[in-house]
This record gives sequence, structure tokens and C-alpha cells, in this order.
Amino acid sequence: MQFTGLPLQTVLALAAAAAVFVTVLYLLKLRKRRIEVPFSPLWNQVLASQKSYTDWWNRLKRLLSWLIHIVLVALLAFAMAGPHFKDEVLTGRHILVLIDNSASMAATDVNGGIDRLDIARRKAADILETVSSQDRIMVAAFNTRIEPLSPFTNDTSLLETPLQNLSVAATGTTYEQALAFAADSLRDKGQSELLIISDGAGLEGKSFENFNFDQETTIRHLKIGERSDNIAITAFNARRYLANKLDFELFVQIQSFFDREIDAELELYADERLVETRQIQLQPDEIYQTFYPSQAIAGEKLEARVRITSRDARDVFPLDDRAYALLPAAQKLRVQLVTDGNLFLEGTLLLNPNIEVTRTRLHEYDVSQSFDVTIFDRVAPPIPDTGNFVYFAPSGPDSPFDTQGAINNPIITDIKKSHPLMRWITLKDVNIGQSVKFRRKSGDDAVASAFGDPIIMTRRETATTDQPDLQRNLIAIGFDVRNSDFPMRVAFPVFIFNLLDYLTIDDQDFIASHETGETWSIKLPADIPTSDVTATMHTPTGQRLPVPIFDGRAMFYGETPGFYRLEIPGVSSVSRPASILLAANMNDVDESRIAPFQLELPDTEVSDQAEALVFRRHQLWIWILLLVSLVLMLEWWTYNRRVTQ
Amino acid sequence: MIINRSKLTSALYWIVLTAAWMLLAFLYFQHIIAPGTETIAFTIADRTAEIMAPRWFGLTLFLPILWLIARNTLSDLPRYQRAINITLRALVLSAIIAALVQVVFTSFESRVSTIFLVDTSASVPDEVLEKAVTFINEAHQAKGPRDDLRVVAFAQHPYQVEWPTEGPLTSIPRPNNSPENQDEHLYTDIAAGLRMIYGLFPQDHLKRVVIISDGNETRGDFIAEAYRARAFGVRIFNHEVEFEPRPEVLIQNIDVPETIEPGAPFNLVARVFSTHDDRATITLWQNEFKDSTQSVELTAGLNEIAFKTQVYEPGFREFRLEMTVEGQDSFSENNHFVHNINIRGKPRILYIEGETRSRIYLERALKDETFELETRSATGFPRSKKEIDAFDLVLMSDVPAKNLSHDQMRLLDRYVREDGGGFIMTGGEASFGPGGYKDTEIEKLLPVTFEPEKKRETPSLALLLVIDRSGSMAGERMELAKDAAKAAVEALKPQDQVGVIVFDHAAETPIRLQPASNRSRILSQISRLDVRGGTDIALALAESYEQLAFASAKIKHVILLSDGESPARNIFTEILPAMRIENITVSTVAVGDGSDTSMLRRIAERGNGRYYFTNNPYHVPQIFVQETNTVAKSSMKEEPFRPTVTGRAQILDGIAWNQAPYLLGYVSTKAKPQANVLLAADNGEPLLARWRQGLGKSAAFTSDLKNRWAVEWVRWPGYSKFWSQLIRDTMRTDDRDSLPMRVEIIQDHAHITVDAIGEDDNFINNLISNVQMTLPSGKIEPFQLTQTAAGRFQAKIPLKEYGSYSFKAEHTLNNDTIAISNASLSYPYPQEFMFTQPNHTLIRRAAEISNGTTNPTAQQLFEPSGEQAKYRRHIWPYFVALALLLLVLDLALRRIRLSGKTEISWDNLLKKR
Repeated sequence: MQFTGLPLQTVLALAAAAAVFVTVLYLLKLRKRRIEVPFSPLWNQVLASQKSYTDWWNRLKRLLSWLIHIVLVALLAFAMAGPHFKDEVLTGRHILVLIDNSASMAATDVNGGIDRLDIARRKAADILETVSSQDRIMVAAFNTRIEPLSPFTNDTSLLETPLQNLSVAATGTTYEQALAFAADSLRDKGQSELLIISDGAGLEGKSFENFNFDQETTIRHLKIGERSDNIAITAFNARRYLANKLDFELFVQIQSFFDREIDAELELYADERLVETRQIQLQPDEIYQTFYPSQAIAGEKLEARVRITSRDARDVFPLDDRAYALLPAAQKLRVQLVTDGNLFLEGTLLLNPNIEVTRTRLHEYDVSQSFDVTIFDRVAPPIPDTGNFVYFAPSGPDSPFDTQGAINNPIITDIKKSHPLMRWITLKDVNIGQSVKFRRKSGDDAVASAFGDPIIMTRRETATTDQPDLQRNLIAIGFDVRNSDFPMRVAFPVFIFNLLDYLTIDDQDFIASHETGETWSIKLPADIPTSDVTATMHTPTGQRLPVPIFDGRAMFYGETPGFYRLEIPGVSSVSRPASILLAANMNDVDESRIAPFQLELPDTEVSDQAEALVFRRHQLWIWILLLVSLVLMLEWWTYNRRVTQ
Repeated sequence: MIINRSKLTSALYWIVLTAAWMLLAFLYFQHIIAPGTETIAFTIADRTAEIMAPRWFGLTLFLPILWLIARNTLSDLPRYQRAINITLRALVLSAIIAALVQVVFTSFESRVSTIFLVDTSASVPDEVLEKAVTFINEAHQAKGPRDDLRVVAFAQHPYQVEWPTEGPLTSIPRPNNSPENQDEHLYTDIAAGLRMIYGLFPQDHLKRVVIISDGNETRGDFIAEAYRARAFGVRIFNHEVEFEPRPEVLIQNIDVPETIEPGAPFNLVARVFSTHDDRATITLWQNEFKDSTQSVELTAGLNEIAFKTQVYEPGFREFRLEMTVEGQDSFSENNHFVHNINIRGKPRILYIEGETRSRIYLERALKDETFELETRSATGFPRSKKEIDAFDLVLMSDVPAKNLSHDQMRLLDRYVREDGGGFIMTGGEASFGPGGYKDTEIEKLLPVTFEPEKKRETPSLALLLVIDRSGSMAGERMELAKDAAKAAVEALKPQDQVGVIVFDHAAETPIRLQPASNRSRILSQISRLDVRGGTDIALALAESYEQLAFASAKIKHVILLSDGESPARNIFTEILPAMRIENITVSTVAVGDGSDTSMLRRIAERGNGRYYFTNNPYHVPQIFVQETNTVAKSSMKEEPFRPTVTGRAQILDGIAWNQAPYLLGYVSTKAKPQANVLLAADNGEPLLARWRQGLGKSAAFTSDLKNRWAVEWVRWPGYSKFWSQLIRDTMRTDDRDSLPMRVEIIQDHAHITVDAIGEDDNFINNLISNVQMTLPSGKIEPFQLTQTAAGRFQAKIPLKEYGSYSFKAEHTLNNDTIAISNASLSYPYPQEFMFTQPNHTLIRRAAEISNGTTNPTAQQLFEPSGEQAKYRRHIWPYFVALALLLLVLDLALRRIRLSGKTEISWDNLLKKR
């Protein structure tokens, strides 16, 4: 027997005191009211003859009454202590319930619930109801990240509401992370139980390393789900051509997870207008890829939808039947050229209608004005902490590049051909009169160099302890273009545009789509101040969420596919309000492969039963109190009938 | 009507009781049963209370029974005391009901639980741990009696540090590097440490964490975890322990030029970071060889040390730097660095020519090309993978199969399929089928089968064996000649025709031309041949002509064996021209020095046959068999023809095919179904066919490249262009068809991206990209890239070893390997050893996120500062205790009469009534 109520000492002291009082009270002889009636001697005589009998009866009644009260005291004390059967309460267990709420849990192939998550939720609630008060339990939802609903607690009622509010996140599942979390959370906790409630979608063929679970940890996996019938758009995006930046190529990948042939229809929408329909036939487990090259679609928002047209088939997981992509509008690039006059550079920049060139003389240069790219031609004034900067032949105390003398007639010997700056061009035979000799810093990347001395190099500067806001991309070209025959070559304009592309086009800009289940780092336009601004994200579900901004980027964790709009308020006189559209997709083949699968771990046994974890709690004290109530009622009756005293 | 007073009281009693009961029943039903209330929440004095089981309120419905029972009580206590008794009993029961409905109070506590999370990974020096112990002991002193303090340490995984049973904490142990987990200290996972402690806080305490770490996180996402900690009300404090950076010298990186040309010197720059001024000796190794050693003065900060070196041969290079530091250095693990590079030189072509004299034609033609041509004789085929890998193409001309072992053929096969090498076989007597390559690995590798296109007509061969039986042939020679003849007959197919002519000064025909199926009779007749007088070849040939001229065979051939001299007579003027008209060919075999070798050679030349000379008569049977085989099986077509262009390809561009001279012959073959036939002979049989085999390509040119069949070609300007283009197209193509592959390390994973963008800026899609990752241990792990967008293929692979990785991707489109990507990655030592300075920003940021501070004092850690921990408390046991007290009181008031005499007179009693 174990006790969970008031401390035993307190209970015993109370009970003892009460028992003493009860006994004392019964030792007191209760005086009856004596009523003198006429002919009392007669009565006395009658009474005297019965006295011996009554005395004995009275004594018995008193003993019985005392006993009843002693029993009542004992029962109350016992209830107060919160008794439980020995085999019922497993003291000190740490129970971690991990509930998969990744996208595949929205599959509707289950009985007794709306979807897999609904079943999982019920199973978790069953466990919650039955854990003992000595146990500590943590419930965590996991998909690509882990969201514990509370720290370890023994108050299960705290968990009920968040558990009921748990919904499916349209993201993938990172089992490794969930298992590592579980191993860390349960480490050194003694007797511990891990219960994973998941469909195991995507586990097939996965092998896990050792997660270093404690010896005493029991791992259980409740598998939910029955079928794998699903077709999915597993990839959909638009990629801009490198040279022709106005055109795109669309990529759609559809995968069937049926074990038989399926007819389906792929529809393509631009700004919600249907622009293309395609009938497709998918073999079992087929991955169907299709491309729409050289698209110059009018419209911004693209959507692909796939649906089954075979009559006898049902897609039990509709969440991945739609995918979204954006065709970003070509934005004008704001470039500042700080020079005393250089027609070569100016002329080249003016060639491109998508570039807005601002020419500034050195004494007019204003640090507070921000541009997408600033080019310094033979000058190096102080620069702000963030931005993109190109230097031609930098010198002077404010130059971020240390120099040590000059190289005359340098011959470019080493070129990183694969570097984006060198795309489509060669510099091998460029004649240069003189170049600055750079002293390289850690992290400098030499793109072209002359016998080990960099002629062109790039540098990315990130936040340090001294400069927490530092976020700069720098490119240094060691020579003055006018002191070389470079501007006479076809390669020159290409090189200048490569410079601008390298600084302004992110990898992800080529592919304008985000993935759910990741923290998106959204680059903001250059003229938006990086501090004191909170942007608002309008999600596809109509929510408005505040988004923090760090280092010129908005960080947002998205978990619903669809179109998002990020709105950045304008800061008076500095910037105007801006709005950025985003498309997000699930793009996770493992998640669309919804066939349930049992978790297996090396060196650790994973049970598929949770019965041993579930047990009914017998709250003995309730029964005891009910018994006490009944006895009190009976005793009340016997007292009033003078059966007891 | 006078109402009886007692009846009135009774009626009132019943009305009140029933009304009370009905009211209770109504309230219970209205508020609890009907709405199905599970819990009731309310607030008392700013505290939230909840009733967890309100259904038990139903028990109150039984309370009126108390009054019912008491109505006819036999108790003789005063009326008011009886009323108190009923009330008390009702209160006892009410207290029990109050316990049963389970009231839960939200309570607040200001006790503090502080957990110290101490980083014990390799980058944290002992000095920090000692200071941490001091601070923790200080905090232990400062904590209040109801506060809680624990210590958790972490590196890769977190673990609890037990507080000693007596006295202060003495030390924080480093992680236990058990054999299964040797690298425990090589990682820092602060997030894991934080996750572990969520379960360690007592519930009714304020939760605080003090992190003592250098902030150099190598795994996990601490900032994300800090947000979660905040959601759970865990405050993170940052206790920064300043420490002298450990003296450390490490090789950060090596700069190697992207393209290294063999023989050209280049600079390899080692970037060495040092925390202090020091001296070090750095040795550069190239593969297994020590390249150079430099003793350098290091200054604090980044040092660039250039090694001027060169590579003499193309191929795979491993540059390894080993550094010995003279002064202080904390870790030796980061004193080496490995970088792999595949150095491409001029393309190297291995040209194996069976007929060494003829090699000049190709050598001359290619001398201006940017190939490095190495010519070897028939026996020079490479024997090892390393040897063959040095070449980008192997060209075999007229090398008989007998010169290649089975292993060498397999080597060639692997060289083409797996290593992307090129292979060309050109025709000749010892190539393709005639060379003995039927059913070998090489036939499988080439785009043609060695069965000729058309079946020969039957009987297709008429062979005459003309054997000298002059006196000089007596004895052993004649016996060997007989054996040779017998062997030749045995080698023929039944439908071939064979005859034997023996000659001395006259010619005799012991065996007339007849089907070889009469084998036993022919053989016995050969055995009976004997030796006679002089030698007259002319007669013998004349006789042969007569016999063969009318034979119905497509191939008519004479093998002439002689060991003597003979007058030429009309051999060259009449017989051979006549034979040529009838398509009769003659091969000659000269035995011994006495024979008229020059005449026999001329006969063979004019007779379009082969000339053999042997000093050893034992070779004669072998020669006969080879010759018979050559003729019998010959798929060689020796007719002049002009090649027809049958396919379009770059390799044929720029060559005036309409002006191409005649080729004089070729080996008859049949194109395999997938082969790409670019040139064909007159009858449509392939002249030039090529295809892809695995990573490499192979081509078959069925005519030759020398002065036999291509005698006109070698002088033609197109010859040189054709061969250089064919070689270029077929050879290993790493340079030309390569797609850029980027490999980055992101938290122990290699992220591999290939951008497949074609020449015309179009994206290349639907590639099957197989990557082979060579681990530092030499183990090869294959995996596939998946397409993620138009022209983009990606994969993410965990890195399990330290050292240099190389990646080779093979991109296949429609079963055709179209490109290769190579990349290498240096992961020389755990990131843990890269850090020489603490990263305070990370933990400061986390502290800010979770409303903690940096560098709090020991006292501040335990100050609740207005915060209170909220926790829920069940108060039912207190109601039970209350019931117990009330019960005792109830009993007391029954046992003790509060008023009234114990004796009353009868009169008084009557008066009362």
C-alpha cells in the first residue's frame, strides 16, 4: 500500500488525537435527565429489578458507539493519506508521449476517428487519464521540429487542452530529431517510458544510429494508419533561366503510392485561372516528372493540382494534392556607383534596363542611404554594417581590404572557373597595368590570382561580438579597369553583371518556393531598416502573425502549404511599406509515402503495445469516504433511535 | 376552523424539507447534470480554483434525511442542542462531499530551482571547469533552504553531476568516453543539455538554468531551444567564464588552384591559425611522397604559408599537410589537413599496334594534336588498373587476342565501363573475329558483333594445300608437312572443299578437290605422301589454278609449302594474274634458310595471301592451321570501297567525305542494336560504329589505319582530322561534359547540389545521377541525387569520418551517361577543434530570449524577484481532515449536555406540557 495524500505523520497525529477525544467522550458518563414522577418509589422498585440488565446493555451500547466512531476516525484518516494499492502505482516514472503531427497524420484511412491524428490524440488521452500521480509526464508533438506541450508534470489536466488543440502541421517528419529529443529528455530519469504515437510514414528503409537511450527506458511505438493509397505532388517550382531572367521553367513531380495503375489529372492554374490540364496515367509507385520550359506566364501565383480520375480509387491523403509556386516580378536593382567618373563602368551598368544607376561623387557619398549594391571605383569611404559592396582598386584607411604595395603587370594564373563570378568568361589573357597587392584575411576567397596573390576576391562578413549587426558582402578587384584592356572585351559587361548577380541573387531566388517545416529566411529589400520593425505574415489560413527581423531578413517558420504575404510597415521618411509574396509547399516524398511502418532501432527493443503503460487508477479514498458517509447516516439513525449513544 | 398547532408545525416541517430537497435537486440538475459539466472553475482571492468532480454534489440530496430521522428522535437533549447536532452532522457530511468533488487550487511559490548546465566538450579548458565549480559552490552557499540546486554537464550528450554527500562540489567530470562512444567530447550540443533538464525541475519551483559554456555549438539549434525554454518558463542565465585562449596552432584550410597542369609549378597555400607567436615545421606530402618541408615563424592570427610545388603526372593527388609545432599547442588533431584533387593533363592515348612498322602513320597524323600518344607493341597492353588509368583512351590495332590475357580484357572492360575510359579497335588481320576476339569481353564491349552481316554461301571455301615433296623435305619435315595438312583439313567445316597437290619437278594431285566431309579418306591419303626429287613451284601453281578455277566456291585459296628454290618461270607473268582474275589467293610458307624466301614472299604478295617463314619445321602445322582459320573463317572483305556516311555526328564534321579515297578492305562485322553506325561499307556493313558503355565509350573502325587497307587514306588530309576527332569523341570526357557540383558541410552533413545547365542555358532534366562518395577510409558509398527543380539535383549525406572525401557523380540521361561531376570535401577534424575563442553572442542571445541575464551574481540566481511558480494543489485531504475534526466536535456535542438540569420534577414537567 502506498499513500499520496497528506503526509502520514500528520494523518497519524490527527487520527490519534481524534481517537483520544472520542474515547474520552465515551468515558464521560452521560447523565440522563431524571424525571421525578409520583409513585416514584414504585417505579424505583421496578427499575431496581431491571438495573442489572440495563447497566450491562448501556455499557454495550456505549462500547459499540465508541467503536463506530473509532472506525470512522480510522477510515477518515486512512482516506486522508491517499491510499493506493501497491501494484497500482509505479512511482517515479517519467513518461514521454511523442505524438506525430506531421502531414501524413492527416490521412483519413482510419476507423473510429476523423484522421490518424485524431486516433493518436485519443490514445494519448487514454494514457493521460491513467497515469498515476507520482508519474511525471510530458507530451510533445513532433514533425520537423519538436513542440513539447509542457515540461514534465504530474498534473495531466494541464495537458488536456493543448492535446485537444493539437492539429496537423503540413510538414515532414524528422524521427532522428524526435528520438534524440526523447533520449535527452529521459536521460538519467530512472524508470522511463517513451511512447511514440505515429504512423511511421517515411520510416521504411531508414536506419538509425544509436541514440544512447538509457537502459531503463522502455520504448513503445503505436502504429496508426492502414493504407498507402495516395498520389502527391512532391515537387513544384519555377526556376529562372540564368541568362534569360524573364523566362522560367516549371517543374512538377507527381508520385503515386498506389500498388496499381491509376488515372489522374494534373491541372495548372495561374492566378487562379486554369491554364493547362493534362491526363496522366501512373504506374504503381511511379514518379512522374514533367517540365514546362520557357514559360513567360502572365500571372504571379501558380498552383498545380492533381486528382485521381480512376473511379475505383480514393486518395486518403489530400493534403499533398496541391502545390504552389510564384513567378516573382523582375525588380529593378538599385546600384550606386561612387566614382570620379568612369565611363566604362557607367556605360555597362546603363546597358541593363533592370538596373537603376545612381552616380555619386566621393564627397556626396551618404552612408545612411542604402542600395542593393554600391560600387566604389578607386575610392574607399567608410561603409555601413550591412550591404553589398564592390571595390575596384581600393586603397586608403577606410578600405576593408588590407593592402601591401602593388603588383606590376600581373598575369592572372589561377582562376576559379566554377565561381559564379567567372560564369561564361575567362580572364586568362587580360592585360593589367598594375594591381593592388591584397593581404588576405581568414575567409577571403580568391577568385582570380596571380601567382598566389589575389586579384579578384570575395568576402562575406557576419556578425561578431564587436559588430553584432555586421552583414556585408564584399568583392575586391585589385586593378583599375581603365588601367587594363578588360573593358575592351566582351567579358567585361558579363563580369559586371555576374558581380551584381552574385551579390543580389540568392540561390533560393532561382527557385522561388519555400518548404514547410523549415524556418524561412526571407531577404528584405535593401531599403528596409533592419531594426525596430516587426513585419506581419499573412498565412494561407488567414492568420496574421508577427515576424521578427534580424540582419535584413525576416525569419518565419511555416507549416502550411500555400501563398503567404509578408507585410513590412514603412518607417516614416526612411522607407515605404513593402509586401513580399511567398509560396510554400510540403515537397516531402517521405511524408507523402503514408504507408504505416513500425519503428525499429538498433540495439533497442521497440514494443508495439501500450497496454502495459495503461492502467486504471483506483482512487480508494473516494470509496472510503462513501463508506464513511453511509456509516454516518446509519449511525445518525441508530443514535436518534437510541440504539447507540 | 381552529388549526391544530402541532399539525401546523408538522406541515411547515414537511413543506420546508420538501422545498429544500427540491431546491437542491433543481440546482444539481440545472447546473451539473443538464450541462454535462466536467469541471467548474472559479476565482477566490486571485487564485484560480477548479472543481474536478462536481457530480459528487449529488450526495447533498441525501442531507435532508438527517432532519427526517431527527424528527422522531429519542434524544433528550435540549432542542437547540439537537439542532446543533443535526447541523454538525450535516457539516461533517458536507466536508466529505467537498472532498469528493475534488477542489484544486492554483498555488504560487517563490522557491527557486537552479540548474547549472556546464559544457565539458573538448573546446572548454579545465580552467573554465574549475572556475565553474567555484561559482557553483558560491551559489550553493547563497541558496535558501527551500531552494534547489543541481548540476548537469554536457558535451555531445548531457549527464547529471551528483552533488557530494558532504561538503562542496569538488569537480565536474569530463564525459565518459566509453569504447562505443569515443567521440563524446568532440561535440557540443547545448540544446540537448537544455532538453534534459526540463524534467529535472521540481514542479513548485521557479525554473532557472545557468549555462557555463564557450558557446561553440557543433550540433543542435540552441536558439530554437531557448525559445522553447521560455515557453516553459525556464529562464536562461549566462555565466561567462573568461579564460586565456588556449595556446593553439591549427591548419584552417589549404588553397589549391582549381586547375593544375602537370609540370607547371603552382602555389599551394596553407592557412595556419595561431593564437600566439610560435615556430612550426610543416611538411607537404603528395600521395605517398614527401614533397617539401618548411620551418616557419608563425605570428598570432592567420598565417599563409605558400608551398611552391608541381605535379608531374596527371591523375589523382592527395595533398597532405603535417605540422609539428615547437611551442605550445593544445590539440594535435587539427595539425594535419588533407586535400584531394584530380589533375587532368593532356589527354593521354595508348596506341597498341600489332604491326609495329605501321605505327608511323597514326603517329604522324596526330603529332600536331594536343594528345600525348604512347605507342606500344602488341605485348604492351597494361597489366594494372593504375597503369591503364593513366590513359584516356586505348586504341588497339591488329593486336591478336592471344596477346591479351583474360584479366587484361576484364581490366579494359572495367576501364571503359567504370572509369569512363575510351576504347577504339581498328580492323586488320588480327582484329575483331580474325584476331580471335570472338566471344571475349572485348566483343561485348564493342558496338559490333564479329559475325559478319551475311551468311557465307556454301561451299564457300576451296582450299588447296600445295606441298613441296622434294628430297630436302625427306624425313621429319615431310612428316610435319603431313601433320600440317591433316590439321588444316581438320580445321575445315564439312561443306568446305579441300585438295592436296604435291610437287617436285612435276605436280601430282593425290587428293582432288573434294568436300572436307570426306575427312577420314583425305587424312589417310595424306599419310601416304612420300618424298621425291626437285622443286617446281610453277607447275604446282598451274595445277592449282586449273583445279580451283572451276571450283564453285566464293573463297579460293592455296597454301604453298616449300623449302627449296625453284625457277620463277611464268608464275608472275601468267599464273598469278590468271589466279587474281579468278579470285584465287595464295599464301606461302617458307621452311628453313634454304628456301627461296624472296620468291615465296613475292608469290604471297601477288597472290593476295600471307607469307610465313619459319626455321622451325615444328611450327609448320601451327602456321597451316592459322592460315586455314584465317581463310576459312575470314570475315575480311578485301575489296576497294568508299565509305558511306550513315549517321550525323560531330566526329564526321569538317571532313570532305565525298572526296574520301577508297579503302581497300575491312573486317566484316554486324552492328549491335544500340550501336550508332556512322560510316558503312558498300554492302551496308559497319565501318565505323560507336556507343556508350557505362561511363565510357567504345568505337569499332573495321578497316585499318595503316598502309594495307587505308593505304590511300594515310595520305589524305581527312585522315588526320578523322582520327583526331574520333579519338577526342571517344576518350574520357571529364573535362568537357562536367556539371558543377557543390558540396558544403552543414552540421556533420554533406549537402550536395548539382546544377545541370546545358550549353544553351537550358536546364537538363530527368537525369539519373549516381554519386560515389569515397570516404577517407577508402570505403565507397553510393547514393543517388534527386531532382528538386528544373536543372537541380540534390542530396544530403551524413559525414561519419574525418578526412578528405571525394565525390564522383555520373549523370545518365536515357541510359546514356552524359556528364560527370567531381568534387572533393575536406573534413579534416571535428569542428570542435576549430574554435579558439568563445562565442559569447550565442548564449547572450539565448539569455535575452528567455528573459535571463548575463553574468548574474550567485545571490541573483536565487532571488525570486517577484516571480512565482504556479502549481496546482489538490485540497481534498484537507476537507477530509476537516470532516474528522467536525466529527469529533459532533460527538462532543452529543455527549455533553449544554444546559438543563439532570433532575426535573414531575410538576415542572407537567407545567411544561
